[in-house]
Amino acid sequence: MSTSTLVLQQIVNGVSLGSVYVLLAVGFTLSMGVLKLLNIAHGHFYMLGAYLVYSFAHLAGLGYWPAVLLAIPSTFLIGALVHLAGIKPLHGKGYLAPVLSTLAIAFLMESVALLVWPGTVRLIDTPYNYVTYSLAGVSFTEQRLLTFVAALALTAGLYFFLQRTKIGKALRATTQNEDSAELVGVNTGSMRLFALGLSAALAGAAGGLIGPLFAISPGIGLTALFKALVVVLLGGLGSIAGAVLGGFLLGLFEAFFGGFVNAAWTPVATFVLIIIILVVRPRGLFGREELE
Amino acid sequence: MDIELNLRTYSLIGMGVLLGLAIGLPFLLNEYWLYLSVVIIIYIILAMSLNLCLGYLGLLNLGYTAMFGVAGYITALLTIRAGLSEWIGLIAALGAIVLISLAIGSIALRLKGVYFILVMVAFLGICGGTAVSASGITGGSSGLGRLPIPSIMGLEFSTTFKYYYLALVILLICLYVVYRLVNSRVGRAMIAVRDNEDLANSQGINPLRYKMIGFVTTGLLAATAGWLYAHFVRFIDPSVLGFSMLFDTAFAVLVGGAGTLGGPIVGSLFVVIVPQLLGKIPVENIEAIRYIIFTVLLVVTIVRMPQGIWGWLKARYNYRYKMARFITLRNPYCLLEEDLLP
Amino acid sequence: MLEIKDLYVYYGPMCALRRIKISVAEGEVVAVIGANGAGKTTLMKTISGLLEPDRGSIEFMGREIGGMSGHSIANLGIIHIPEGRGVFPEMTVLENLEMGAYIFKDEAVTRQTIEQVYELFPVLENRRRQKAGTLSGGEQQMLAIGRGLMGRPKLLLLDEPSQGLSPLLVKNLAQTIEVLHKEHGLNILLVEQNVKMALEMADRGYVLQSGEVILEDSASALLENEVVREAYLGV
Repeated sequence: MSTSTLVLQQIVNGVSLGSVYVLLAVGFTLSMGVLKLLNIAHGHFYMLGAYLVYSFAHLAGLGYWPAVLLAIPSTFLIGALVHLAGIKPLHGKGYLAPVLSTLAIAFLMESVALLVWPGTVRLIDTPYNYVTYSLAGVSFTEQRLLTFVAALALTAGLYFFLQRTKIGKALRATTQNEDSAELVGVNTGSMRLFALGLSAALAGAAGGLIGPLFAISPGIGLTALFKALVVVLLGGLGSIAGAVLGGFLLGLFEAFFGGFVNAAWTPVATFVLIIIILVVRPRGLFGREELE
Repeated sequence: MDIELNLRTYSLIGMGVLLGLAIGLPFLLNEYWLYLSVVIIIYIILAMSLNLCLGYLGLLNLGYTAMFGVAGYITALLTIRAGLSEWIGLIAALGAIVLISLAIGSIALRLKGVYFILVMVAFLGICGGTAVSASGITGGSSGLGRLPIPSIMGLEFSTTFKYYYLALVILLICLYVVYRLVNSRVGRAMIAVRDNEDLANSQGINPLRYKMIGFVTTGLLAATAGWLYAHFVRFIDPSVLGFSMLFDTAFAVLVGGAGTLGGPIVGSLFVVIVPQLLGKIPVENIEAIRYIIFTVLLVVTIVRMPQGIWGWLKARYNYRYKMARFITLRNPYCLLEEDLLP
Repeated sequence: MLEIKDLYVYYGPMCALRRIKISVAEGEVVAVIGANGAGKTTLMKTISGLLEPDRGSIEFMGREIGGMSGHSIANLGIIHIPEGRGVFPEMTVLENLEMGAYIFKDEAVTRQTIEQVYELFPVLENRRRQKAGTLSGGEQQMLAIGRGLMGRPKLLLLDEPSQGLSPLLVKNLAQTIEVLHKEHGLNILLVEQNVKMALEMADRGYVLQSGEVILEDSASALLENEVVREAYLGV
């Protein structure tokens, strides 16, 4: 392959990967903003989504898209449950306790996953994996294209939801000033519950969309969390636009680093990136404020 | 999470009994439980390390297992590849951890809350990733094996029985160091920084300095535990930098009681002994189930009993502790509520 | 309409408010004055539902509201304009005002109320597409009050509205509050460090010190009161 084709190939890979990262990060930034919480279990909802789609598609015999459509509200419900059981009781007890709770919940989810889906890694197989397109010498499967489109559609949908609907605005208000939101009549408790469910659903969607592209195992939850962290740090905590930009940047960074430098070291490079960002510009590209 | 009262309020007899028990234990236990006892001691030291950061400094430092692993790898590399003595391994590991802690600390400790957690998580990730990827040096996923058995002046700690005493001595040294640290001016400064950094700052306490002291000490404790572990198990691989170690010791600290001296001990006992007892139950998948039980316990503890088992016991049975608790809750905390608002 | 009896509020193990007895009748402007740390904001937050009382009762229009959640109390007609303005910084002025009417469903009345707010504070109309965080202190105060008005309050709780404002702005503020009271018939409970301004506007006043009410009288009497003059007016 010529260099320019190689570069294009990495761009395509990076962009399709990035679109999923965007989805993952947007959910994370949502839960961070509304709940002021570092949800360590966020990546595990991603893992859960992937496994649910696998179960619905392969074990229950549904098609791929119905499986995804079913997995999203399922993850939402599980997220809501997690909030009620593990996060809400700790509201107002400092920032540390809820974070520790999410750590425990992450372990719990991973243990349950090991129990319910034991053994080796799974792969979600879809008919789209077998159709390939070619553009300017670069090839990609139909699945990649669909994943990209779906991720973007969901992100756009979320954006409009937050900007145009009453509940969306209430969520934004809660993010910006929780007390004031309560005082104008927003039920901030419900907002927090909804936000966590929504962020879980988005993470689950991301997992379901990426499932056909990579193998899934319970360990991917933690990795997904780190990816979300990098994106949110890059783009700025609390900013959707930042998450979008950051997601694609990370996708491209990983694609290029993996393709041109050394694939094995990509995870380490990502972590080094986190530290660099935290040192140089913790608020990221579009960050509003430093979160306590 | 409060100051522990001076040990003198406990009857010295009680301490003596415990010590005697600890010394006499190897004579009472079989090989299997003796092995576990050494593991418990290692866990206690590691839990103490997290406890120092979390309980006394209020920092969720998730990188302590990284220090544990790095120390283990350093001593492994020096003793296996370079053929040096295990004691050089110990000194080198401790020294390296001090340097690494200073380096990472200077970045991380300047950052607030969430960002600090992230840096430490990233640090853990880098160590883990490097351990796996730099397989030429670290042996990759297969790890490094056959570390030498420590010996002093010809006396080899070759049996579990003997190793137990080595570990016990090291544990007692660590306990003493932490006890002295926590009850000293330095310790009180750390607690002041934990409770209200700005207030401490205005009283002339440099938060960064004391955080750094605590942070480096945390690293040293973790490194000690790492060295003990490496020469006991005589094998090291990337799993030491993984989730399970992190979870077990975090559980030990939180359920045992953060911010107390006895908490990590109680917690570590729990974390090692209970799974063993559960293992006797002839149910399939008992491993995964025990994780589920433990995580549920952890969540319940955080919600209902955040001071941990030891903290709860202390509050119930020691009225002097209760008084101290009341007094240590700062006066300005309440009345200057308006000032606390951003 | 507002009756607070024997109220105790604890912050952790410490007592922030003790034996509080305050009332606001229909058509009144009541001021609560005191120094920093006296408990004024705690009082407001407890009335508006952000904090829970530990003992005592708070009755609004005959109904016990102590312990109710903030959004429920807002629904009842008590609108709290918090200390420090509390605007939504990333939302535009217009969006802030719209949020003020969150509990209402009829768009038409909301539009009308916005027009009324613009009449009261023309500068808000000029800046309606600006992000609230970029407004000056005085403008944010106007926005906060405007947003509060959008909630169609029966009782308005104003927490230190003069904070951070220049003397000229404080004068404007005082005039605005007068207008709100006289022309729009709003009941107002005002908490202030600026004792002079507060007592000049109010009908009655309470002096709060270290969590307790130490004086209660008509506003004019308080202005003449020895203790008040020495401690708070620096006379």
